[in-house]
Amino acid sequence: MTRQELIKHIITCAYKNKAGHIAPALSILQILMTMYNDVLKPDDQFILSKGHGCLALYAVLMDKGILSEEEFYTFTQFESILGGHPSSRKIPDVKLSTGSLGHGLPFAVGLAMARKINNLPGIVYCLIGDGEANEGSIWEAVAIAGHRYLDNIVCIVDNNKSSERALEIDRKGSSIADKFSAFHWSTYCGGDSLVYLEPAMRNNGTTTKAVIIDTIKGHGCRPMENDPSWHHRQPKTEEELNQLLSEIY
Amino acid sequence: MRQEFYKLLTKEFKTNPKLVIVLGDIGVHSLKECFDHDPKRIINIGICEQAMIGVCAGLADAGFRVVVHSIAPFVTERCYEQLKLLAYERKNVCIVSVGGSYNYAKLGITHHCPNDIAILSKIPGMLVTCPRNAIEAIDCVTFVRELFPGPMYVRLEEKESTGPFLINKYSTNGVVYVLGCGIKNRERFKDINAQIIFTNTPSIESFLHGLRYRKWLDHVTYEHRKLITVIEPCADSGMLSQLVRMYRNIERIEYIGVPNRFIDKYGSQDEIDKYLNLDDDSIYNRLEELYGTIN
Repeated sequence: MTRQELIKHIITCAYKNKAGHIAPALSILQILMTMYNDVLKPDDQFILSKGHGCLALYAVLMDKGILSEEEFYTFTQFESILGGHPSSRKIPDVKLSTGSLGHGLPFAVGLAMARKINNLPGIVYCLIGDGEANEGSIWEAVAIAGHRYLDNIVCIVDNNKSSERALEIDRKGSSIADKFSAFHWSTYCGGDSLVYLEPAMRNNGTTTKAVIIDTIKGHGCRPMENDPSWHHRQPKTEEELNQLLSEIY
Repeated sequence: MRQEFYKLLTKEFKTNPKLVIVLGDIGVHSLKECFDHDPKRIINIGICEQAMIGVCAGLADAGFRVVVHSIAPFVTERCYEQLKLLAYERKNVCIVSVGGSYNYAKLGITHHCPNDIAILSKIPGMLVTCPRNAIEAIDCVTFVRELFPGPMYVRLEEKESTGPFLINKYSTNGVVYVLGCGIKNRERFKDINAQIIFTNTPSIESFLHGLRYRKWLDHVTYEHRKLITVIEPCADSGMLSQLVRMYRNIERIEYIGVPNRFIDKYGSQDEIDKYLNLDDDSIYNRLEELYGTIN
């Protein structure tokens, strides 16, 4: 499916089930499509640390045939395997239950360290949000990985700058990249297009890498873009749904 | 007890290639032999307890049996949410603490942790143990966890408690239920006219107790409906409420443990024990009041 088609499914699913963080999901949708279509190899592992973006993950898993469309549309229903945050107990493709922020990256560092002990190949990818980077545990994990020169982990930052409303991590003179660099990580920064970031995400096993991607919250649906009110709300009426679907690009 | 545990852990480390030790910047010198033997499998992660538990979850996910070690308040209260997730994810991580309650009396309230057992017992799927000596502690790290997949808390006390972890004697006056090192000198209590049970798990429904004592306790409490006293070297672990739920016919229940307040004194652990009436003499006097003595 195209990105536009997946966006349509995400918004419609959230509307039908009156649940879901649509705008955070759209912020990471392109990243997840790239991960699952072009980056992840059989030996790799992926952790979605910002669990509230899970509608994008579910949509991509549906696109890959791991979830059926019927399963996708049970999102947050009583017997559904798809919660408002992903659970590893319910979804085989999810390695760690996330939702509370700041847990995924330490776990990913542990996975990467285990691979080093066992001399196993493969890269561990972890997607965090820039807002999530308010959490101290993220920087603890960054310090651990940098200190140990873990070259088999890649941290991807969904830098949609919505955290400017809270604690601003990415600011002039001290960007997120600067902060990762201070802990001996190599950093790659770019815009929403992943065309030139894809090679950076293909870790060549030389250094600990952070890929900081400038994204737009609600990307792909004009009325939602950079509108904080869409962080955790859904279309209220059929009319509003149709209006949003008509604004997908 | 701590040094003895380190020796036993070193022995286990050398023979079990699946064991990974993660240290929160303590025990590094004492476990030097492990670093010399296989530095890949013993990691001094630094002073970052929240990420440390997450890292342990990742290591356990890869099939390692992880022992993580730090001072009680830092490896329980500081990273409580991470421990909750560890239990939900059923990761085989053994959290070994030192300094529970007020073992580090001189260091003040930031290093006190009387609530460790209470708060960890509230996490579903977390097995909480309070071994009375290093051998019981290493048993927890090895064979108990083989039978109990998922995270487990092992609270190492500074001082060992003597004797086997068994019943004192038979009496119909009632039951004294002692957790871990709640009583330091078991022999001191021989003439109390009550049955005294020493155990090392705060959950009477959990594995160890269920295996050895459940039937016996059922019998005693049901038949005699007498006074039950719980003695703990910590704040209320929840054992009281469990007993009340399980045995509704108990006539009276008493509790001896660390009170729910900040301890505003320094000094030694023994001095704090005495200050809180948790030294053996004070406990003996209280039990004598409650149960009387033989002869």
